[in-house]
Amino acid sequence: MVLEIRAGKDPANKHQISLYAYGERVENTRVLEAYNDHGKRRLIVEVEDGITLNSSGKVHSEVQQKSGASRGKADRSNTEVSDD
Amino acid sequence: MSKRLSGKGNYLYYGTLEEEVSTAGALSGERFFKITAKASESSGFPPTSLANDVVFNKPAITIVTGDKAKPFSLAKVGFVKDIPNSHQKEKFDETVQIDDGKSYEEGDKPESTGTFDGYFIDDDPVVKEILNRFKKIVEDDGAGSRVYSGIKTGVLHFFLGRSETTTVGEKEIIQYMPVIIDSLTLDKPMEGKQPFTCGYTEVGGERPNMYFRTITA
Repeated sequence: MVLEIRAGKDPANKHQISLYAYGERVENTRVLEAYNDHGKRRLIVEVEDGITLNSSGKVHSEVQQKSGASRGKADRSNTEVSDD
Repeated sequence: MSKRLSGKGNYLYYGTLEEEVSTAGALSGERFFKITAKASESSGFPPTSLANDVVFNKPAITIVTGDKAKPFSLAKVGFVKDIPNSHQKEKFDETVQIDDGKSYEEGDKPESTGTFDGYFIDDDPVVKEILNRFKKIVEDDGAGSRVYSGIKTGVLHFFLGRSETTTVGEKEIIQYMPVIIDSLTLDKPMEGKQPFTCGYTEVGGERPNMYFRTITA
């Protein structure tokens, strides 16, 4: 799976950046840091609810589920996304 | 909040011009382009820009028939350490007897000069490009090929980082320096590294500028 990085109405505002997967906006993420090195973009995002991302392809995941946590509980982890 | 700029983390880049693009459509790549021609009507380039200005292609510029541009590829300059950089203007005396002090009219054609100070590095393409402006260069590969290059002239394009950043929302400052090299000092000390110091003068017709660019996603 490949995540797509899309700028918002104000492309200089990192909080308006969205992630898309399979053409659909990924809702449970918040951008913490955003970089653009001459077209090579990189984000550090916070993912709520601890979804496990497939680490093959371009996503590098550091998601860890707390022991005993249920799926419905808010479970924050940071994930790095790049579109090189 | 304003930032006090440091020399650390900011570099001098040598710009190589690539093949000219003249086909109508979006320019490709988030990089600097040199505007080589502007269409007389509905140009895709910024309205306040002129031919020979540089422009950063983000968001991508869609050029029309009559617009032309050459992309730059940038490479860090390997030999340089310090870069003195000075700017002067003429002033024209207009003092009359009733003035309280000397009175001047300011000229509008600044002159920008300085040096690239560094060390003589073997096999550095920019070192060779600069050397070739003062010396014939002979390339002998030891296997039969010997090429003699006569003394060159012409503008060299440099980009000097004043505040480099890739963080979305921050402002990057790059000084575009199209220059001629008008002096070279190549001392050979008894010990220590051989210094390589060349003097440059900016060429106004090539539209040097200070480029402030907001980084966007």
